[in-house]
Amino acid sequence: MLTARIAASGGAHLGGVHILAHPGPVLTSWLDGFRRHLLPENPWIRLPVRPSTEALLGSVDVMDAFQSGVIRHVEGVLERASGGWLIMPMAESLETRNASIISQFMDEGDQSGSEAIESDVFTGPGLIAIDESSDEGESIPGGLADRLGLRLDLRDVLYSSIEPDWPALPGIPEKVWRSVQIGDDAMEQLVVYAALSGHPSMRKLIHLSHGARILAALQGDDVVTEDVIRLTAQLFLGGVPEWPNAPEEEEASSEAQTSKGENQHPPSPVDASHPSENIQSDASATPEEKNVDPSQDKASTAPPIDAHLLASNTRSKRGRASGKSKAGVTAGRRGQIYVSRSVPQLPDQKPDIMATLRAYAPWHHLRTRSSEHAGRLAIRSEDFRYQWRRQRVEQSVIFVVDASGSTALERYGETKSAIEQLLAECYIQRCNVSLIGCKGLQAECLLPPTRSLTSAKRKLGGYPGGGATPLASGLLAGLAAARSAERTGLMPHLVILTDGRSNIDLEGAANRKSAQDDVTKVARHIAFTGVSTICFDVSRRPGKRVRELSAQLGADYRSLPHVNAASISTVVSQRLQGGAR
Amino acid sequence: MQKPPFPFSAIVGQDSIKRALMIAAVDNTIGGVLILGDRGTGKSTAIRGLARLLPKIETVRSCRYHCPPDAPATSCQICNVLDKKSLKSEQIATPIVDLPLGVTEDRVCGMIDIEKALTTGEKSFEPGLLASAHRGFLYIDEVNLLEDHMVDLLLDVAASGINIVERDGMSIRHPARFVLVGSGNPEEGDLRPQMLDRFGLSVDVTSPDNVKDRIEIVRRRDAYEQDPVGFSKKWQRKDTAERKKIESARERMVDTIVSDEIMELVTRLCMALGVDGLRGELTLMRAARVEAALAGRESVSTVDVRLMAPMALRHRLRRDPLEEASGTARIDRALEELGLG
Repeated sequence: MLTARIAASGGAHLGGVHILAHPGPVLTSWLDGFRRHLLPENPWIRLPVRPSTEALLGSVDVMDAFQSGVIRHVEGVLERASGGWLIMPMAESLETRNASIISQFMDEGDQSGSEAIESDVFTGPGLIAIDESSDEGESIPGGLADRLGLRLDLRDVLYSSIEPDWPALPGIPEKVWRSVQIGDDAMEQLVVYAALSGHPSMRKLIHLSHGARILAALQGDDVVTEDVIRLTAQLFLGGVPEWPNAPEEEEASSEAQTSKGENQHPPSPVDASHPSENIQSDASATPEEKNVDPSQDKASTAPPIDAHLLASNTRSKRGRASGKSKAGVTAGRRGQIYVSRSVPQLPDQKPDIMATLRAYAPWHHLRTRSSEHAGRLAIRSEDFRYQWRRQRVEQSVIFVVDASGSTALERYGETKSAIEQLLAECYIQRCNVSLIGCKGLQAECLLPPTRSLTSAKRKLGGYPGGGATPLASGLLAGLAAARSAERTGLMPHLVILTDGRSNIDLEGAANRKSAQDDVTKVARHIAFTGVSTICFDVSRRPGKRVRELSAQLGADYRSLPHVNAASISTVVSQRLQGGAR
Repeated sequence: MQKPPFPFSAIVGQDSIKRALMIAAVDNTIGGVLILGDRGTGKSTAIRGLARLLPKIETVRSCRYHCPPDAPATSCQICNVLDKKSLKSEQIATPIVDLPLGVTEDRVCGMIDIEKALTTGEKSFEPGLLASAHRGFLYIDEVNLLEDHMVDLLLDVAASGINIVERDGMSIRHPARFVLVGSGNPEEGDLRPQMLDRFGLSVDVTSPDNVKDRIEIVRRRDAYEQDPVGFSKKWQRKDTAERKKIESARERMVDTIVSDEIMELVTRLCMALGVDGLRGELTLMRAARVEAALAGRESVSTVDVRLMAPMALRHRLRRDPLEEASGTARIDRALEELGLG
C-alpha cells in the first residue's frame, strides 16, 4: 500500500503514521507489509503498553553495576529505536507525560542527561501509533498526533480484500525526493487544505510538503502536480477537505479543489500582505503547471484565503487534550513521584535502585574495609529507598439547585455568588464547576463544567426561581454529569441545594406522589454509585424531609436555613481538599 | 560536529518571542520568559537559536560550574586550587540546558558521584543540570506538565540564585543563576499562579496567519534540513548583527536614564491594573530600559513602556478571576486611560 512506501521513504522526517485500527489480521498484515519495506538492520521496536520513564529513556544496568562497580547506562526504548521505527499499540491510552517525553525525544534526541548523543545525523525513531479508540472523544494525545504525518484508517478494511503478501516496492531515497520542486501555489494549496482540516500547526505543513514531494518522486515526476497534492491531502490529512460555503460557490461545489495559479482574492483587509493574483511558481515548475486544463477551472473562483480561515480552524480537531487516567485511584502504582522514603509505600514494592545506591555510597568504603566484605556491596536495609507516588485527581463539583417557589429567590442569588466564590477557589485548586437547575418540567444544565471563570460568570446571569420542581430529573442529570466527569478522569462531587419538595416526576407529570417516589429511586441509585454527595437543606424550617433524602442519597447532610455564600463555599471546599489527597 | 541549530534570524515572524528573548538575554535580572502557544509554533526553535548567537562567556577551562575566572565559586573544586595561575580561562558559548520531562531531582540538583564512592571511597559531588545552566539559560518545555515538587525546586533556586544540596551525606552550595525559559500549550493544563509570577515576561504565540509566511517557513526549514551547515552560514551575518545589538545594549543599558515621569507612569499603570506586589513594576521598568537601549535611545520613553507593558504584565493580572476582558485588552485599556493609547 502506498502509505507504507511513503513512510519507508520519508522515515523520521514524516514523523510517523497514525493508524486507526482494531487489533486483528488487517493491522497485522499492514504492519508486516510495512516491515518488508525496511532494511533488516532498521530497528523495529514495540513499545510496552504502560511504559515507565526509565523504560523510555533508559536507566542504570543494576546487575552490571553490582558486578563491575561501574555505573553504566542502559539504553531506553527510544534510543534503541533510533534510526528505525517504534510501534505503539493502544496509543490512545498513552499518558500525557510519556507522550511528551516521546515528543521531546523526537524533536531533539536524547536529553535524559546521561551521555549526550552527538552525531551529525539525528534520526529519531519514526513512530507508528496504533489508535484503537472506539469512543468518539478519544484519541491519541494531541502533541503526538501533531508529529505524525501520515494517517491511515484501517477500521473499515475487510480482511478478505487484502492480498496476503503484497509486495514491497522500493522507496525513494531522500536525496531524490528532496530535489522535487514544489511551487508556491502548490504550497498554498497545502496550506489551505491543512487549515480546512483543522491542522494549523506548522509541523503538519512541513510533513505535507515532504509527502507531496515523495509522492511526486514515486510517480517519477520532478515537479508536484495538483493530483499529487490531492493525494497528499488524502494520505496525510485523512481526506481532501471541502471548501466551506463561499458566496461565489455555484459550480465550485463539484470542483471542490481550487484552480491553480488562477486564484482571485477579493481584497481582504486582514491579509493585506498577501499578493493578489497569479502567484508565479518557480521557473522549473512552469511547464508542468501551466498545462492545467483551462476547462478544469470553470469559474470556480477560490474563496479568499485569509487569516480568518486559517485562524478559525485551530480548535476544530483536537483529540484529547490531555490523557487523564481513570479517576479510581490506585495508590502507589500510578501518579507522580513526589518523595523518596526508606519505607515502602506498598507492601510488595520494589526499591528505587539509584536512590538506594546513592544512600549507600558514602558508607561503602567504611563497611567494606574488613576483608570479608571487600569487593562486594554491603547494602543494609536502612539504605533502601522507595519511590512514593501520589495521584492527583482533578475534581469536578456539580451543583444541583432546586429553584422551586418554596426556595426564595434571594437564596438562589446567594447560591450564585457562592458559585462565584467557589470558582475563584477552584481556579486555585484547579477543579471544574457546573450547575444544573430544576425548573419547569425537566432539569436544565445551566452551566456546563467549566474552569473558565468568565464564561461561568456570563452564564450565571439571570436565572429566575419559581415554578415546578422536577427534583428527580435534576438528580438524574446530576448523576449523568458525575458519570461523564468520571469518564474523563475527574473526581465528581455532587452538591445539592434543595428543600426536598418535588412536584414533577420523571415523566413530566405533576403528580406529587410519583415525583417523591422518583426522587427516592434516583437518590438510592446515586447512593449505590457512591458518588461523593453533599446535601444542603435550604428550606426555611429544616425538617426531616431533606434529612431523609440525604440519607437515601448516602450524602452528607447540612442544614442552611439561611443559605449564604460563605458557608456553602466553606463546606464544599473542605470536601474538595479531602478529595484531593 | 554537531548539527547547528536553526538560526535565530532565519525564523519567520514570531517577533514577539524573538523580542522577549532578546530582552531577557540583555538583562538577565528580568527573570525569564514564558512562551505559551499552540503546538508547532517554533517555540523551542527560537530559544535554541538564541543560545547559539549569544555572546560567549568567559570561564575557567573544564570548570563544571562555569565560574568566571576572577570569582570562583567556593564549592568549585577545580577553581579553588592554590595556584590560581595554573587555571586557564576560555570562552564558551552561553550554556543552554534543557530540562526534559522525565528528569529526576538528583539529576537536576546534582548528586553524589556513585562511581567514585564505590570504587575509591571518595565522596565527590557530581553537579547536575542547575550547575550546567549557571550563567546561561534553562529551558523547560511543556512547563505546565512539570511535577509540583520540581516546580517548587526550580522556583526556589531561580529566586535565590543558589542551589543548596543537602543529601546523601553531602552539603554543597553553588551559584545557579540562569534565565528560565518555559514553553507550553495552555490547552494541556494550567500553570500555577506562583509559577506564573516567577517569569518576567510572557508571550502568547500562534502560528502565522498568512499563507506567504507559512510557505516561507516550510521552505526555510527544508533548506536547513538539506544542508544545516550551509544554511547556518548563510544566516550567520544576521545572527552576528543581533549579537552585536545585544552586546551594545548591555553596555548602554547602564547609562540609560529612567526619568521620574516614566517611573510614575509605570507605577500608575501597575496600580490601575491591580498587579500584585512590586515585581510587575520592576520588570516593566527593566524591560523598558532594555528596549530603549536596544533602540539606541538615551532615556526610556513612553513608547518603550507601551511596548513592553503587555509582555511584562499580562500574566500577572489575576486579581479578579471573573473579570471578563482578556489580559491584553485590559492592559490596552489601562494604557489608553493613562494617555498612552
